[in-house]
Amino acid sequence: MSIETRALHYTYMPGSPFEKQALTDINLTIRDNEFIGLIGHTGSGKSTLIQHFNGLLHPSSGEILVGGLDVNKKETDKQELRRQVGLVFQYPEHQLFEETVERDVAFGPKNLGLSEEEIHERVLEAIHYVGLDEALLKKSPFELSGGQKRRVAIAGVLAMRPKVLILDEPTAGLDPAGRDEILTQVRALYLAHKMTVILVSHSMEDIAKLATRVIVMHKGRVAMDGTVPEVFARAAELRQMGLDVPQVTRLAEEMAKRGMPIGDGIYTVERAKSAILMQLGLLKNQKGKEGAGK
Amino acid sequence: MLKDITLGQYFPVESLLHRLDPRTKIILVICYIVSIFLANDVYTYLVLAAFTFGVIALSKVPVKLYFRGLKPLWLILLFTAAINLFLTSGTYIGGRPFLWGIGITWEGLFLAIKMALRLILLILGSSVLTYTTSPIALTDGIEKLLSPFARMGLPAHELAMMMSIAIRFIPTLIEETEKIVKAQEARGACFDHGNVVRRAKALVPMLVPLFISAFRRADDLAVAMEARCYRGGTGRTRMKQIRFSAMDLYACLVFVAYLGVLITCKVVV
Ligand SMILES: Nc1ncnc2c1ncn2[C@@H]1O[C@H](COP(=O)(O)OP(=O)(O)OP(=O)(O)O)[C@@H](O)[C@H]1O
Ligand SMILES: [Mg+2]
Repeated sequence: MSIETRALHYTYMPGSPFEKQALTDINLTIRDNEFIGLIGHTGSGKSTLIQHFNGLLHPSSGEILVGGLDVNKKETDKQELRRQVGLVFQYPEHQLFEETVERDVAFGPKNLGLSEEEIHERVLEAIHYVGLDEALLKKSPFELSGGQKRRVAIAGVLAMRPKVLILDEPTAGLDPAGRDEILTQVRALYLAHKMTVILVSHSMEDIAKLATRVIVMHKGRVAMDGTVPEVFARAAELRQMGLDVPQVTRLAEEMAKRGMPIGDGIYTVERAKSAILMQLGLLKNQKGKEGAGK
Repeated sequence: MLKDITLGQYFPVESLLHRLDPRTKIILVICYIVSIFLANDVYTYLVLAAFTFGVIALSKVPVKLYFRGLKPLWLILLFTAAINLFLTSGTYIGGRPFLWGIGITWEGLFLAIKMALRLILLILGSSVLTYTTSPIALTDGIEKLLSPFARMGLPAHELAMMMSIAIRFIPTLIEETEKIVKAQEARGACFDHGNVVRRAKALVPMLVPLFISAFRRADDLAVAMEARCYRGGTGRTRMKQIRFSAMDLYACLVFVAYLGVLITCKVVV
């Protein structure tokens, strides 16, 4: 399912003293089965942009097409749109309300008017995707830990079986293990279901590891749009926008400066590790040769 | 819809009125409201309107904002006007009632205009207070005004503190509500469809998280206040002292002058 925006503008509270232009001239085409990493300094308009993708916000001007349908049009079925485009908000655990985990996850499918069996099946599936134990189904969501609550909330969106999954900082405030687990599961979903995924994150590491395309927002505009190497090659510009490149990329830069280049295009820890090992290997070999030459 | 509520409606600009002691403003507004009820003919209303708009001009808050504040009240205005218009006895306009003994009398017409004007002036005048005084200054003023009664067991400080916390959290809770509504809508919830029962039911997914978050915030706030050694009002000093200055004296004098003109008008004309 593709998403297309044309000359999209959005202003909060127009005509009041608190008027705020949050999005300016956004032109994007997001194709099927892309994994988009959406980054930008705080207040750059990321959350505002993604709320346009499932019709929660209406553009002040411009167009937005989701799966070929104009979101702005009155006759576009909002319910259907939100089924297709699943949006997980920042701190989604704050939206839990039901007495049991099972009923909370079932809220979305129930709104779609599905049968009991179908709902049950989807709840089990969603719970399984986010790595929660079935034993938790009958518990109150408020008894769970923060990380577990977060998973319940994400499961609540997955249970609607969206074609596009949008996650707004899904790992904020989680421990490293929980973070990796959730992201691994998102990646598995992306690979297994040919979903389109849009991940908003402040972690350049996560973006470098997962995204097939990176979109950089700055002051309500799209500042950069390209593959991971394309975007992270422009480190100086990123820094000017209050962003950065992954830490290992900085490490590689620093090593190059100090006379030990390990190569360009180092964005993930795995890649850095092999590059460094290779370099060390080379050095050893050279030393070995030098030693043999004497 | 939620954004239209302008409760903490303080409008931060520099003006003489903004600099007045909140106590002066509170007391003068109360006196002003009483003075509205002194007006009863064209001349006194003219004096009243002239004073009101003079003060509005002094406040440097756009007049547009004042009239926007009237918007939520047009139903009440219409309702009282209609009641006065049709239910006042006297001489009918056109000589007789036009339908089943219901008609508009001259007396009714004047009363309707008078009451509508009173309500409008009342709202405009009291909005001057809320537009020019920050909620914090307002509660400080109320606390100071109530403090003489503290000896009689009135918890003045606690009341003021509760009020300022409540005012402080209105925008936060509105924001929170909007967020929760959006999050549930993203899961296919529908808040504006169906009959009354369905709509009431649809509120549950909004109200439960809202209450939980309100309690969480209250808890956090209590802990944060304790951590900073808040122990209630006794012996507490404040960063911004409110002081009665020469300007407050002038404000009072101007108000007395206005009262004088108003009463003279009433007696003489
Ligand atoms: N409900 C709102 N009312 C008014 N202004 C808003 C509202 N929500 C966001 N804004 C403003 O719009 C701009 C963009 O906000 P947005 O939430 O989209 O940023 P963001 O990129 O998601 O930031 P973060 O990384 O902090 O989540 C900000 O300047 C913000 O102050
Ligand atoms: Mg955001």
